[in-house]
Amino acid sequence: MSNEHTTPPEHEEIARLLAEQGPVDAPPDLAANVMRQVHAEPRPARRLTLLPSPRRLRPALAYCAAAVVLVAIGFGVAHLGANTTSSSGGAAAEDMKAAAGGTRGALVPGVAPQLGAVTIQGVPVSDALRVLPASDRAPFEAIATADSTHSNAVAIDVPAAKFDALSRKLHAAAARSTGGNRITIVLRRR
Amino acid sequence: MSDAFALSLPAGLHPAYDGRVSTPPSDEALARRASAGDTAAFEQLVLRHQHKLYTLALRVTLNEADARDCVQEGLVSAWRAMPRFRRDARFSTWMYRIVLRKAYDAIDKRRRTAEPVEAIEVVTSDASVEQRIDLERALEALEPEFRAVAVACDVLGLPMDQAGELLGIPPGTVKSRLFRARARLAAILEPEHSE
Repeated sequence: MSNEHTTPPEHEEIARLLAEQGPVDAPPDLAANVMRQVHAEPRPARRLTLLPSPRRLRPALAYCAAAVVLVAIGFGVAHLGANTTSSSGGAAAEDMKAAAGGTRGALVPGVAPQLGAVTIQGVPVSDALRVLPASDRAPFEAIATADSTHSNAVAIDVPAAKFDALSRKLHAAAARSTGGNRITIVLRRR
Repeated sequence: MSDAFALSLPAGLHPAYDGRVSTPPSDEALARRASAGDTAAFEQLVLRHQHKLYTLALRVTLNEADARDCVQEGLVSAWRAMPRFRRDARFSTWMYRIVLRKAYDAIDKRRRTAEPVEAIEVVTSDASVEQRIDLERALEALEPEFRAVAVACDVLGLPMDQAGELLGIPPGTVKSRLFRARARLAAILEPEHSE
């Protein structure tokens, strides 16, 4: 079998013969005949390019896809943050805030939020002792003797019948107060 | 001789040589213009490639009338297909491929309607003409696929990769077919030359 990686001398001779004698000139009227037919042909219709070809659109599509993914991630993260807040008792806190009127936004540390509860900030301890029924005064007496700078909050369960009246009195007391030992009271509907 | 065609322009209107050398437009630039319907650009392409296209068609079909038809039909087909011409392909290879397909079609057609061909009688004593006729006879003895490889590589002088692109085969196959085509041609021509 012949080795096809080497060129035998007779092959070089054949290649030379073909190169020398192979090329031929086209008939002199060939080009003219071709052009006569070309001129007789209807003008070649260009492809209607309302949109660039998919090959040219590819980089733009990649950028668009990346932008969509980023927006989706941003949207997801934003919603995740909101859900995290609400999952830690946010819904109940919002309800509490809504019910609290002027004292909205006062989440009291250590007091479990409850639906329909009202938080009243800055109630003078003396007023609280005066307003509250005797059975509920015990926590306030301890507070009254404590350091006035110490931040305190007390949650009191109030019968539904007395809830509104007590809430109004405590709000009024908080509004009147100008200083002294004050407290945050969370009234919970019993 | 060239003075006979020189135009005399009024004083002050002689174009000054600005030092720039104008280079002929590339095939791709002309193809772009032809795709947009510029017949003058297409004509330049025809004039530039007609001889090689005719050579390819003639050496593959081994018939002048067929070769002429192949090139003519191939070029008109190319004009019609210009708007679909892919810019990433080499224009000359694309045109060669169209003409080669026409040449294969012509061979098939001739095979289907085969007529006995009278033996060519050599009536010349010129050695180079005899040698040319020998070469044509030898080419005729090759299968069209092997003939096309020999024409693409040795007659048109295309590199292996471009010949592969034209013939639709890998460069390795071009190499092996070229080797066999040359061997066959050498075997056919050798006894005649040794006489």
